[in-house]
Amino acid sequence: MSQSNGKNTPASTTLRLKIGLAEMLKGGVIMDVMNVEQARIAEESGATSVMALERVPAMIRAEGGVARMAKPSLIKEIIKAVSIPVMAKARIGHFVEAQILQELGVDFIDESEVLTPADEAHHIDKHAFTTPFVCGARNLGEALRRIAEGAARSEPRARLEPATWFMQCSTCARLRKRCVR
Amino acid sequence: MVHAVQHMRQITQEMRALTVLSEQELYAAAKNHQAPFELVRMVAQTGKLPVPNFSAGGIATPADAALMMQLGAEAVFVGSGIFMKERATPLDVENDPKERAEAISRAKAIVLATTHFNDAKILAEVSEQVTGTMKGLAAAAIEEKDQLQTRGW
Repeated sequence: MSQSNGKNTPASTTLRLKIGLAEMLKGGVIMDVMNVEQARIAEESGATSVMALERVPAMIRAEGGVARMAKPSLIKEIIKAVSIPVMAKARIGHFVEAQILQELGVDFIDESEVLTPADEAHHIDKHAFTTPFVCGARNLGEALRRIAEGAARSEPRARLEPATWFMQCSTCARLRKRCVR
Repeated sequence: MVHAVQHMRQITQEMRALTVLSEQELYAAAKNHQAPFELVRMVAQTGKLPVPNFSAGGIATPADAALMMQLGAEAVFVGSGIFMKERATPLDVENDPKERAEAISRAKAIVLATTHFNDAKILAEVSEQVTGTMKGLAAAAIEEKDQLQTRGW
């Protein structure tokens, strides 16, 4: 399976630069927003960045179905409305959603377990992108694996979603098996 | 929130544990963490991740944000709880100036608490500013958790 960012990226875009971009958010607050007005309030209140979402996780769960990347039109509107960095979520392993988000011009891509994972075994090859990534991790090994894949920032977070939890756990088990082999 | 704390503590503990290992012991540590040796060695040498370490999950109040910062987070993700009223319905920030003001006061309080996470005096002040909202936020959080627990896909 070949995976790319959809265009030829100069190899000069290094992880170092991506980490530098993430460093700029240090000490700040990143707020989930669902529309332009919320994004404006976040900016006005001093948030360092906003996460553009179509629905909050609680709504996704209540409404059921597969949770995917937010609508491009919403992401574009929010990017236009605020001057602070805008993040958006892609499903785990869904590198085409990530390609689309990069094309839309988001400042960070969150490969997020809040959305329905698209690949149970593989995460996105984040080195293939010029846009920096944010990833969740529950322990050091997980964080370092995400960094090895090219995440500019690790984010220890609560896994609110039990099903994702299982999927993550079974992924780990499978990985472990592969190592033994 | 309890998971965010748990994961933050776990990661910082694991990083501290690496710093006391000898070079030879790091190979086994890398194996146990199922992580690349070079990255494990980098953490062992510096005692921190080679990337910024942010926190997310259930952070709803200024006190929550400051707690994660004191535990070692370098920034916090805040859920849309600040834009919610009770029963997980969003505040009408577009048309209702009062609800808009409420959202702004919550958002500002969390930003201030994150900036001054080590200053209990400021934390007390900003926590006071958002009185009346804590209940809604907590309720929203519990409701969300309940929903997530009852869902199973």
